[in-house]
Amino acid sequence: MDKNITNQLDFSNYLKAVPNIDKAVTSILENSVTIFLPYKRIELSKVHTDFEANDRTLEIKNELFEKLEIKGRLLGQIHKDVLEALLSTKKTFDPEETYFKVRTTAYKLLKKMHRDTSDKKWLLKQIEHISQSRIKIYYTNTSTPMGKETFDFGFISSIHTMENEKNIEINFTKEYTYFLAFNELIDYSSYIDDIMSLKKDIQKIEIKIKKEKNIKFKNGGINQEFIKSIVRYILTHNGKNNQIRVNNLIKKLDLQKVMTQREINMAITDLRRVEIQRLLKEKFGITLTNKSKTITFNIPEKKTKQYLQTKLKL
Amino acid sequence: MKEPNINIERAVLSAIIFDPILLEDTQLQSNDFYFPFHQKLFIIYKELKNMDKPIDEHFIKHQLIKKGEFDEIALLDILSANPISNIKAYEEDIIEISRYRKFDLEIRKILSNDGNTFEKLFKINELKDKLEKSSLSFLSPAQNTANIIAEKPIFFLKDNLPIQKNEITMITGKGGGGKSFIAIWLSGMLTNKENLKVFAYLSEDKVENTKNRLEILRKITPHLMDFDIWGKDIRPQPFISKSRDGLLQPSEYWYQFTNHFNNYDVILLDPLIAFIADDENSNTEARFLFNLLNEWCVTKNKTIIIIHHHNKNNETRGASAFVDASRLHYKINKKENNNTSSFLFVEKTNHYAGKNEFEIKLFQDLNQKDEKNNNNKVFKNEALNIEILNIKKEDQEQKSKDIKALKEDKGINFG
Repeated sequence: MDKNITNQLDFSNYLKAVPNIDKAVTSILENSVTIFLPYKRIELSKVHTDFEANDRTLEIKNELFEKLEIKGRLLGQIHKDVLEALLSTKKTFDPEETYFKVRTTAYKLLKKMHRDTSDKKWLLKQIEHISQSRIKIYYTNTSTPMGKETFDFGFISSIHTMENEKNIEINFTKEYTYFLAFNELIDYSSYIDDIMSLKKDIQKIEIKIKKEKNIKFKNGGINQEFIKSIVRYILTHNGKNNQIRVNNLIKKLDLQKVMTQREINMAITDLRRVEIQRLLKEKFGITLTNKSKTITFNIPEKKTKQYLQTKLKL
Repeated sequence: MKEPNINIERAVLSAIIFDPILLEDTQLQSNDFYFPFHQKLFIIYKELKNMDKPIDEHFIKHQLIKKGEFDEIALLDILSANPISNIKAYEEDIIEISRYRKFDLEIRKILSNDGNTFEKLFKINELKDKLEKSSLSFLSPAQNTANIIAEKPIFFLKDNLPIQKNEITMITGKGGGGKSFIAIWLSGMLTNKENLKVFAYLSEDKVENTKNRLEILRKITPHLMDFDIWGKDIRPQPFISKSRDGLLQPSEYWYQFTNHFNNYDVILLDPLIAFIADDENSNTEARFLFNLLNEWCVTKNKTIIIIHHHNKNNETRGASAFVDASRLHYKINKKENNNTSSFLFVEKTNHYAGKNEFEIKLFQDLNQKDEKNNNNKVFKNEALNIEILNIKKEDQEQKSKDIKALKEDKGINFG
């Protein structure tokens, strides 16, 4: 391999990428590949047992590249909530090195996430989890003769807490900065509040259904994380009558790899509930059509969503 | 399949009784008749003719009784049928129905025999060819131009290197002139730009080498898409063979090949010589082979591209009929001081009118590449949209200026 090739940005390219990274809440790749699993309690899932048995590695297939491996720690949608809460906070870019940081308070982050604002310990634990996970992408480089290459990155390099964990400074890695610089990014900050409040909204729906229909939910109620995964995937699209069949989406996200068929069936049943459909339509413009077999996305009028880069030209 | 018609058979047999001279010209055989009594009767007609006896009710009856085959009602049906003056058309009908019947019987025989599927398939194809060529009804009626909708020839890759749809395009060049690179480039372009399903039989190279070449080409043309190939490991066989009596015929391999690749839109064959049976200088063989290929193009909607070698004089090798039978012929040439492109000249065209020289940029300029490596793009990954760039370190002063601009213009935090 050429000695010049590294997984870090050259400084002048870093400066060119800064305006886009500054606005970005996520990359399309993070939302369209199951890096963040649709589980609330990952450690209780079968995929976690397999992960432990397989040298703490989970392999995910995707049509974009050969495969992707999650190493070290499995992350869930809750971690994605934290990551998006961090990325939608004002970022500070290092003037010497090619990475960025976020300085904020635990209170602000928890408030953004619609959680109990005193739960600092929980928040720091989630951030720590993110820092323990690494993503390795295997792909074919079409312009080198040998072809096969890998790209490996972690999200967070260090976490500093100050004043009794009140103030937090998160340093993101140079590799993650590099990853963001060369991927398609989206700024959907106008949706962040709706995504973060999904948990509470779904809990309300559960209570309502329990009362009205006298139904007892098993396995911890409606799988909110599954619904979040779907919403996050759908939001990578332009919102002009995008349609995808539920079954195709399950395949695209390779959910069969990380969920059992029973879990998938239950999650789809919950997704089809009238109350959930109403919520998704109102907040995100997502509806189920074609006898609830197809998900349709029409961006609501009051919402805006911005693509930051389709192909970075440096 | 047409059903046998008893009335037609009766009418023809009746006409012969009324006008025995008809028996002189007829092509009918006894086994062309479907009904057994009609077959027997026709044999008796022939026997009476040979014995110079009149073909009339009396002698027919006598012969039938003699053979123990007399059927009064059946004979009466024939005698009472309306005789016709011109039996030619009816005769053809009876012969055609008889051919189908025999064909059907043959197929049943082949299928019920032991033997492997390919042998059976080959025999059936042979039979089909025989039937198509001999059957009278397969001669299409002439069409009046008033009823035909005009259609312009269609070309793929109009702007890059036109390839005529449903025709044979031939690309020739001398050894090492970049023929195979052009073949790979064309296959990738047709797959990507025209959304066609391409099969390339690049029989001179290992599939791994072809893949390597594709990747080299992608440096200049990154969107070249993957397509299906066969390589050196699968031995090409001639599409035509000679029968025992020395006549040219499609080989068993031809039937297998066309069936196997029936799903593809474009078939690229490299090199032509791999598919010739005997003599590349024989115009008869060349014409026969290209007629086969042309028939496949038209009947099965295929577009064929053939790669062929040049001889020592840098002219197309072998029979001239190869070029005559192609609709479009390109000749590959290199130009001095240009290692990065191939130049294709239109040598012969029947339908194409446009420029007659095409430059296909295939490779990177080595000199420029070095420069690029030092200053610019090092590599690019399409799938991930990752481009790694290596630009010279800006000096500190420039760096500070840029940061200041980002802070002031865009309100971005640095610190």
